[in-house]
Amino acid sequence: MRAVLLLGYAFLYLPLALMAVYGFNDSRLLTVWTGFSWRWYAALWNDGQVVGAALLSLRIAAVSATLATCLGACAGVALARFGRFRGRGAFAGVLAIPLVIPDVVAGLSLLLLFVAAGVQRGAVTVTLAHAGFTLAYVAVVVQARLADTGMDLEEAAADLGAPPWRVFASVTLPLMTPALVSGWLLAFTLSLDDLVVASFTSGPGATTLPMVLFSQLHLGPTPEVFALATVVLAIVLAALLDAWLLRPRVRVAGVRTAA
Amino acid sequence: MADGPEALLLWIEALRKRYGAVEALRGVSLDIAAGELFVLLGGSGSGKTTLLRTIAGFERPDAGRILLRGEDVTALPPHRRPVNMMFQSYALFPHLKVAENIAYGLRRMGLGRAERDAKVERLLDLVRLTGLGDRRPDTLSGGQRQRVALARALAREPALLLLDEPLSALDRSLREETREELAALQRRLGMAFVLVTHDQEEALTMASRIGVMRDGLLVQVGTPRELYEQPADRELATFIGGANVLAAEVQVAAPDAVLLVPGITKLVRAATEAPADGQIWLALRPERLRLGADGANVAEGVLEGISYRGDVVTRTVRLPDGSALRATTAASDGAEPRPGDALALSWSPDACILLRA
Amino acid sequence: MNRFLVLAPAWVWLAVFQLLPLLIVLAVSLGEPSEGIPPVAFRLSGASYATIADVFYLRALAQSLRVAGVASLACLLIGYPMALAIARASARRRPLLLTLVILPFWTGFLLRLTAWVGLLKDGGWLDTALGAVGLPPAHLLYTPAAVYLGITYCYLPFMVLPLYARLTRREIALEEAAADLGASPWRVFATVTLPLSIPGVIPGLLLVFIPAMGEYVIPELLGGPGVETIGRVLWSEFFDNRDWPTASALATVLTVALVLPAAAWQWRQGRR
Repeated sequence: MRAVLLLGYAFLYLPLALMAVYGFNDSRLLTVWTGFSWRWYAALWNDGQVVGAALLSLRIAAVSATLATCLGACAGVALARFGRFRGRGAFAGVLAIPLVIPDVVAGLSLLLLFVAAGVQRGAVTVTLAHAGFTLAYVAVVVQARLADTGMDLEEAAADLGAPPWRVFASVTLPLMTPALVSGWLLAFTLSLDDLVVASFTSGPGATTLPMVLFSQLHLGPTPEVFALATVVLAIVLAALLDAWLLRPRVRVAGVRTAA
Repeated sequence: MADGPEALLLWIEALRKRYGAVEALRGVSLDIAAGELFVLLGGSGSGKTTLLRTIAGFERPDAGRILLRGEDVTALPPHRRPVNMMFQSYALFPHLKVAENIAYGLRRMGLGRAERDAKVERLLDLVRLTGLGDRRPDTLSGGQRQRVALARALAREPALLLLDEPLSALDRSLREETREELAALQRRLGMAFVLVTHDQEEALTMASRIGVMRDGLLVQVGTPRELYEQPADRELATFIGGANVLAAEVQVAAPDAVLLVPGITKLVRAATEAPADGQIWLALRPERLRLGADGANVAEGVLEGISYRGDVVTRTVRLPDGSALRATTAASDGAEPRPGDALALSWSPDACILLRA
Repeated sequence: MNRFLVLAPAWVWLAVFQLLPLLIVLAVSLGEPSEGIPPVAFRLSGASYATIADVFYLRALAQSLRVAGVASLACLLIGYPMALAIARASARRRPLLLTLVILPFWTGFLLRLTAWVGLLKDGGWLDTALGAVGLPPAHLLYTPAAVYLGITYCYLPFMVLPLYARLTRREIALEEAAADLGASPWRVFATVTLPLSIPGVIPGLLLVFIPAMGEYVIPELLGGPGVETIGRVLWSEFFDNRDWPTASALATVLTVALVLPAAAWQWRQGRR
């Protein structure tokens, strides 16, 4: 069993490890090692296009993740707490569409929507598009969390005299918080990562980082890209480490679950 | 009951509740007076929990009414009913401390901060958790958590306290102790409790009255003694206390019944009337059967099995027609019949319980 | 009612950003290409559907099926043992092991694909390594194999997670009972663990197969001209040929074939 896991992880991590190593390769030739160098990191730092696109992607991701979290939380709460409400099946069905739709179809459909509405394409349309397809993921996370914690606590609060809004504010929301956080992070990553939908729905002057990378990759990868990948990996690792160390422990009735 | 709905604390009239194809409540009517410790007893699927939740307000009945202190609360949401519930899972808020949990229901009751705190302290003392107010629920033991749940439910001084299987999550030794504590607490507070359980021993020891539920209906309501000595049907006779049940034929119906029971040569005399027609059954409690042929009613058979429990011994006697009688006597009775020996059992006419159903 | 306040924004959003766009796609697919902006003339003609019935598109569809099928299978073959190994690990280790599976996902799949380009290209790391051992270079870039590898690599977590969720719910008591009745570990697996885990395999396969069918980026970067999948065809119809109706027709067909069944299943689940 352990061998299986090791092989699997090797499969997953070898490409990343190779990139990390060769990001320090002095040579312009991709795979021939000539020496250790920081030059590609320097080039990355000075590459205005990449830096600009990165900042734009981060902004879009943050806004769309927030939007997706608000809407996705509504959807998740509805599915987990409203019982068999009218139109529940249709609601769940439509909500599931972005989870399975190929991104080319998603991108095309949203572009056509914006064209039909006469909306100028740019960062805003990309943000809306991203919120559109990531909210389903947030809904799934929120719904799972609420289903796990069950309705007991909310019923107890109501039994103790709390009107529905107070039940939500003092019980449901605190319980949901871990799901909101991980949902936001998931939506953020998905947005940051997206190429196809952004390509369809973006406009002049709003080039996201994946779009920049893609056009470069078409011509062939450069060591600069390896450096970028390593930077991203380092940031992700650092963020995860932070989250791991600082994670709030929400224990429900003696069963420990690290949020 | 002589009192009308207005005079009683809780009046339930013809409640019906259906979930899809399943009828959880099929027309349940019940009344509860102030100060009672009423136990709803039944197996899973009997509807007892549904009934409790309907009283609390978490389920809306399809038909029927609920009156609390004369006021119709059927449509009232749970947070507006003067009823509080102690949940089976305790449902303690994990993100609040013990004191905050208990104080949760005290908002908007017109109490000042100091008053609230004092009340919480009094409640902690009441449930013997003094000093634990600052702890979080997940650091407490099961028994402690239960007491927090109880204190929290008592905080608003409801007219009626509902308890959903309060003892089921505790282990054996704790259960008996807590049972007594709960009953003592109820007497002390004088508050009406409605307690749901599937444990008949719990019901018999705690209740002032028991309501037995089966398949969405209340099959019998009465004091523990009434339920024990005059169960409504065979199922109840064996559910509460265990009983020997034999089919019988009525030879003389009144004033005292005389029965012909297959497997028993001598006619059986009961101390009550028998219904004039229809099938009838004779129920005998194992502890009312004595060893030996020295009594008004005698059954003769062969001793088949002995079950020793330390304080009592249960012997199974096989009658000639194939049916069996179980007799429970104190272990110190000195008798030593062995399996295979002939053994006679006797009982008095007032030990006969006659059942129609 | 409170419920309305919660449901309404979600419904409005879903209607505008999910349903409406798909309807517009359908409408455009029934149009004809024109020279204007936008390059569509609404005509209610089935011309674009006739176009895509051509063998070229059918071949692309077959290509997509093959790619998605092979990749799903590969994900299953690699992902199932991994999920099983993680599920069987001690409870303390499991979150860490799971995180390690998901971690690469957080770096962004374009960057991960870059690594694969570097690995598979002529003179890339794989070929260099093979050469060092005396084996001939593999020349894997721009072949179907590269696409299979790429998709498997990127979609693996989507297979592992639902499988893991299902496998952790397995009844240890059932496996012990089977062992007690004389079944060898292999037989226990084949007759108890595996059948009970099937409900976890299905979502995993769906989460890999359906999006893989419509994949654009991976075949584009790793596949080269030999791997012309539906996703690439749609893209080029739209961006290169500026033939919106045809692209829309393709999108509609893909939606009906892939998305609607999944959404309908979810609708039935939602009704319960």
